[in-house]
Amino acid sequence: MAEALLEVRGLKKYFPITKGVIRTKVMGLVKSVDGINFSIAPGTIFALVGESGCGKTTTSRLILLLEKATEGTILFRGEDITKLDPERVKEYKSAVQAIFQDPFSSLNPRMRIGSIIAEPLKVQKRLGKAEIQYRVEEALKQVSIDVTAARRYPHMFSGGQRQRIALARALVLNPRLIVLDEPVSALDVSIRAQTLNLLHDLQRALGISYLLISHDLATVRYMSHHVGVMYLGRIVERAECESLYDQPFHPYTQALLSAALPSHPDLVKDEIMLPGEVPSAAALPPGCRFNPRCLHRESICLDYEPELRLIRENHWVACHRQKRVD
Amino acid sequence: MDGVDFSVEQGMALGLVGESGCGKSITCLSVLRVVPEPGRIEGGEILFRGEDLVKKSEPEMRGIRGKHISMILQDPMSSLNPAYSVGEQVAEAIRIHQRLKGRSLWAKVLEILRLVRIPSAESRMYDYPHMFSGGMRQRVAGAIAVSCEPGLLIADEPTTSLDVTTQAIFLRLLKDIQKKSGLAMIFITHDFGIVAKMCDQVAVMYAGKIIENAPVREIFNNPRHPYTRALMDSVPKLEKKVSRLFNIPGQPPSLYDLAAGCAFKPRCPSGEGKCSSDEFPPVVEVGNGHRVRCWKYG
Repeated sequence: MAEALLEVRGLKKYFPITKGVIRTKVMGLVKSVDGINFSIAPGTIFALVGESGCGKTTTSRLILLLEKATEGTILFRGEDITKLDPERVKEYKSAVQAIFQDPFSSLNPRMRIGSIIAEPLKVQKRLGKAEIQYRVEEALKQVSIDVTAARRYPHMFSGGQRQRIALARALVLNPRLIVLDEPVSALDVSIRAQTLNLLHDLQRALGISYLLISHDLATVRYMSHHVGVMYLGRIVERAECESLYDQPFHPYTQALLSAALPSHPDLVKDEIMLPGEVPSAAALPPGCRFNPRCLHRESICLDYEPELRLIRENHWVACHRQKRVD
Repeated sequence: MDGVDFSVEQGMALGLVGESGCGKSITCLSVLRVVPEPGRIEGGEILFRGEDLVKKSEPEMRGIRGKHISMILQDPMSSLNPAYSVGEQVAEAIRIHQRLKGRSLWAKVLEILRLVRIPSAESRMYDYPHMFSGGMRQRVAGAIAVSCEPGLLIADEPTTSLDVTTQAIFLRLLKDIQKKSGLAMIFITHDFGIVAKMCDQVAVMYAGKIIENAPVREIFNNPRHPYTRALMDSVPKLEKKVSRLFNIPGQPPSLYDLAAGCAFKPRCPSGEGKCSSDEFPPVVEVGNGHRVRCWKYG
């Protein structure tokens, strides 16, 4: 494999639960992200899937330097981003951009579209007025929004158009990686396809990488090259996209795929019903964190946590039962 | 919405599919006669077990809502009252419609909460909605809806706020209840996946009108209306990687200033001669109980 664009090693983020105002005591830790590893090759799309509270958004916030990691390293082109000097941090922040779920709160309603898109340029680079205007117009063209939009305000656009404006703002700095956090879940069904196709086309045309955060398994299959399935702060299965969908090994992935909605009445399967609810990330069960809900639990699952293990080409699973498969 | 026709039989589930703003929620609010002002039911009839609900008086309607026809809404956090315990909220409908009191009332509440599989229901019925997870809250909302054994249950995007596995559990629960009680259901959704899993009949709405209505397998195997087909081709599939999603150009129209004629024409990939007519295409029966409103068939 070519050198990774972004590599995450043993990344952890614990949020303390505190009590008291004056003499603050730490009562416990919410282990939101608990030691994850993955890498994104240049020009590829990596997706993190999981249900709410599994830590996928926290992971993206750590990568965007919006949170400070408790432990672990994030390497961008081989350099540890947590140890960069301020000038290099600035460079990193222009190479890594983000698009969030809600296009209504991510654009400032009091700024014109032109200023919204120009703002990252003004912060990051010293450019003349004409150069800035040229770049803004180029970015708008890339997302197929009319250049006259630059003089208008966000409320004059629909959700899909706003999401494209957010994309233009991300593209204006020529990033190498864009973090997409549920980019289409707030959009209407017929607008989702437009947006997903556009994201797809731009990724290929510009050779950039995406980190896609999503709970929708069908969208992930359409978009990504590699997938990591997260459960309670850990990646429990990581593989090439088609390999994972064709043969999921982890019992959680299997349950998740069986519960997802079919695209035809003839494809309705019996869903695997997981007993109980997701435990709190502040009180993890001993052993494998999935064991209280697992239908195949064995005694070893209570003893210690399984690590991700390679079980076939480019397919990693964190499950004690799976070592016997090969 | 305008000139909408559909029917649901006992023990069957109808899927009302469409994008936001197409009038699917208003349709169902009309069935319960709770259309928000200044909306009004201008004409037509709503027959429930042979009786016209449009002609019922308000007190008569109050006896029907919750008892014979009930509803589950999208967001259980806003449909449950945070100031009352879950048990009290389930008890309310039973008290009013079934006139139960005291011990028999609470026994019934417990039975209903067990039916929707609330774990350790006997202690959790004293808890408040905020102490429940999203999936459990929606199960409580479901419990209230089925507590009086209604004939018809309307579920408006019941699982959009739930996680995948929680959604599966909730849908399975509804199906089990339907099997047991012969309940008729209407699912309002934008997701053909829910339709594929849950429904027997499908009605697709666009700009306030039903443009296609057919049995579930028929519509999936043989979608006739260009909008239905476009909508199906525009969503990624779980089972296989499609090379490209179909792009429906433009936006859904606003219902304030609808042009005359077919509302889908500006976005339609196959607009032909008759499509520019000022008339809305008539309902055409194309066989297998499949009805469509499109000039291609008119």
